[in-house]
Amino acid sequence: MTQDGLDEAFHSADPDVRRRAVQGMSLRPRGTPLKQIVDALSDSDWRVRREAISLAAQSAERDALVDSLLARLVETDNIGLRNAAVEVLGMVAQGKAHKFANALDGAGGGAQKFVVEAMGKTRDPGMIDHLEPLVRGSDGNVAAAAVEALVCIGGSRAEGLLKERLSTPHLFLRISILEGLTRLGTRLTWSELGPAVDDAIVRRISAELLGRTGEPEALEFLLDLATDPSPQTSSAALRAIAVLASEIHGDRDDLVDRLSASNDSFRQALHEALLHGDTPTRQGAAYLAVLCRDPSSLEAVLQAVADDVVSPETIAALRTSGSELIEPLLMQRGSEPRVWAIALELAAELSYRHLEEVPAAIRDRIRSLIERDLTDAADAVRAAAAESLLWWGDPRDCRALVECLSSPSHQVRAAATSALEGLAKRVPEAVEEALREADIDGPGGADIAHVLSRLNSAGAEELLKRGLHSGDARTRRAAVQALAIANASDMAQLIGYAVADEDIDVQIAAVRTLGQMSTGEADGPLGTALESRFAPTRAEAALALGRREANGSIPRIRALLEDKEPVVVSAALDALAWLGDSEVARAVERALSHADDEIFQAGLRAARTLPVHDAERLVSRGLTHSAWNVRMLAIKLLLDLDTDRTRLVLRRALTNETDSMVRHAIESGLRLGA
Amino acid sequence: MTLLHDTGPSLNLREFRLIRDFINQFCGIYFADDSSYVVERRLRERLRELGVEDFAEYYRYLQYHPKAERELEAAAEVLTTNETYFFREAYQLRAFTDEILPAVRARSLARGSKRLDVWSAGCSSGEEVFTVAMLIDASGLFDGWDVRVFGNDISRRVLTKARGATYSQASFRAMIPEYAKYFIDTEEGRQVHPRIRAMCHFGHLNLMNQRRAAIVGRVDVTFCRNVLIYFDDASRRKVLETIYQRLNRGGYLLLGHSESLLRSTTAFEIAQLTTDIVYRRPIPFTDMPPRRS
Repeated sequence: MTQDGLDEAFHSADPDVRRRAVQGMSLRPRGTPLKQIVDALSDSDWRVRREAISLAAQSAERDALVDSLLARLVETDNIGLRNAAVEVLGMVAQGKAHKFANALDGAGGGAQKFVVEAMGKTRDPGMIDHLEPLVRGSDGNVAAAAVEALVCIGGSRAEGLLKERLSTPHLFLRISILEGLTRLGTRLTWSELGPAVDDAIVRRISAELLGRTGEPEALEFLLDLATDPSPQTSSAALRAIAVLASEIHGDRDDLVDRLSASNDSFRQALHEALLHGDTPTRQGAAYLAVLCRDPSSLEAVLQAVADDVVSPETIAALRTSGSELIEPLLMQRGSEPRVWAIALELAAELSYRHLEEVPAAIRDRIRSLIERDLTDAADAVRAAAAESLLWWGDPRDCRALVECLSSPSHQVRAAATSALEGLAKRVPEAVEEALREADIDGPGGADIAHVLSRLNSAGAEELLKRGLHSGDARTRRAAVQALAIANASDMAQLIGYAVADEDIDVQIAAVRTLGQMSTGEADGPLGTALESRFAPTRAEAALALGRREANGSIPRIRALLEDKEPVVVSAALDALAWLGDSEVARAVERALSHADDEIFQAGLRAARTLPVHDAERLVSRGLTHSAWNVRMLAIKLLLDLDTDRTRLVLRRALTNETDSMVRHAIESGLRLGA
Repeated sequence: MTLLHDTGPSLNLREFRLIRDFINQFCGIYFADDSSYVVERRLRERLRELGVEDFAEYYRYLQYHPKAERELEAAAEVLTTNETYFFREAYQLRAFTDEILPAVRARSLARGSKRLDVWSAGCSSGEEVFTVAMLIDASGLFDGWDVRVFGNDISRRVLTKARGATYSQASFRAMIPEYAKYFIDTEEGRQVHPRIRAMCHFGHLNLMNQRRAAIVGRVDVTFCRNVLIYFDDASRRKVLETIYQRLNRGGYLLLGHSESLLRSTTAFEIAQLTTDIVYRRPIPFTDMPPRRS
């Protein structure tokens, strides 16, 4: 659309035409006049205003735009414009705290609120100085808006100010502060939080903070909230109790005893949450139900496990239950297959762990259930039965487990493999005997190879060699890997053939296996692999030769620095660094000006091997890289170097770092070392 | 390797973020940092299948392996949530039957067309697709029309289930009894009636792949319910752009009850119905019927 066309469209009666006109304005090479931006921000249609917000964010006239919008914010009654102005200011007014301060001076209480809201949206810590007096001020509405702004800005200073004001007698303001601290993820101690939650209304919104204290004093309040008629409050309290239970400072047993002694209303709330809560609530409730050893919730807990919504802590807690859980678990037979599968597996494990406490009749029953369920129609049940044989398996089971290896279900095959690997340690002959009749060319060929690798016998080696000729690439790859695990002798040549396999994964496995072999025979096939048409194979070969300290390969690996695939270049650089090649310094310089992240990272790793002074200088360049993972690597390497200069560089980097994980890495690294 | 005994390599936060971002670019799904253990557990199956030792190697596989794209599909398959059921969010379906279908019918007739196209974007195991087809059939408004309901998903496993059209009890938790006539009892479960199945089509489609989405053609209504909640902002915008392009002018977009377009796109207008608020691809003023005085 032409310039005139855009202007005409902007005045159309059709809001969609106006919207598209504003969209089109963003493509104007000289930008859009300020007046037109403000007019668009005042449009009656929300879609036009939203496009105008994007347009305004691109404006080159930032100062004039901020002045104009702050003025509108104070004057206008147009709610649409006001909201749009707040949003735009949040996007463009960083570093303009003084302008906000002036606007605040000239605004009445009603308008101050909006100015404060925009200050928060900027997320500019420079605003905090001007927000501080407002949080302490007498106008409750403005103070609450300032609290919200501080929460938006975040950081330790904002958090500190909010904590300071927790003792305010104004309930409304205290609620705002507590909500804000909840959102900031703040951890208050009981001594900080306790006095602030003396009121029932305040407690209702403080569940998360109570849980995060990790102190037992918070429990009674939370138990009370857990039986609140509002499902939202009850759910929040249950989640908070779960956090408290997992993070408690001191004796967890006391807390568990208290939970176990809780009343019917609490148990009812727990049960409801387990069945009907959202995922985080079900997660928390499942953990609590397991801690309380509440048998009435068992099926719901197992259902939550089956639905994959429970945390690893809950699984761990279930697995450390006592023998009293076994019978209730066995009563789940007849539940839906996934629930029964978990019950069976858990009962098998618990009965094995508490063998002396479990009556023989129960043990026999578990054993017969396992045998029967190994042929169940449901994959989950078959897998559970196979997994249970990790504890209960004996030579009789080998044949049935080997049959499971030909199941089309990945889950069944994995469980059977794991049980057979366990049996291979105890009764290797029985496993080998059963595997002799197995079809290594079938769907379970790769799994058979895994088990064979554990047998460490000449017979197993022979079977594995058969696997190298399988028609299935997965089996060939697994056979190569298994021969390495089995530490088979004189295999370099056979595995060398696999370097020429038509499947890339077999090639890579062969290259890696050869890389681990001590024989010089491996170098020949590895050299060939440097010329593979597959980039990952070339890369693996370079790495393998580097690790083997094959100095004779340096010229060929150097040539790979010119490869067009980044994975190959970075592997070559790593390998040359390990080999101590004299060309590394030059290669590092090139790598550190390369656009590809992986090559850049290889450059950093290689730089670390150079003399300290060069290493410090070159690795530090990674701290300003745009990719967080590259900065993380640079931090790790600098911490590893651990010199006065690297510590100084890291402290400086901390001030500019915006990524929370990277910041944490620097902070904890400086505190604890590499 | 079962839900209870799941051992294998650990996923550290760095690897989690790298893999998470990679998968996000591929299919839009986004995992927050606190869900790393879910990703770890679900992806272990893939590591084992590929014979890959740890997550660092898995990340390299995703970056450089010639079969990386296929693996990304497999990873998306194990990471996606596929829970759905018949007649989910009944109030919205009421709005669809009572207000949207008559409006779409009138518009099509005005164009001289007797064809109705509906798209279920991210259809999972097909319950929504069949629900929509049953509602259309039961409305009686489209007898003798060419009705096509197309469902897509990124998971081949759920598409296989959808094509089988046979469901267990869990899919009927919100079932409306008067629609029981559309099912036939079989040994494997309740199967959707062949007449309804004939209206429904399924395809493997990554919603982030705008070019491939052209196979959907132009549709009158798009259901994209409880799909975008798993996406990050940028991916959501991209998918919404595709949906916009695939909708006829005046076509409707139905999102899940907790979803809104407010921060994602301005391309759609809000259509306030009696029992629900939905979105619509705007009709140009010039296309609108003249107002009666």
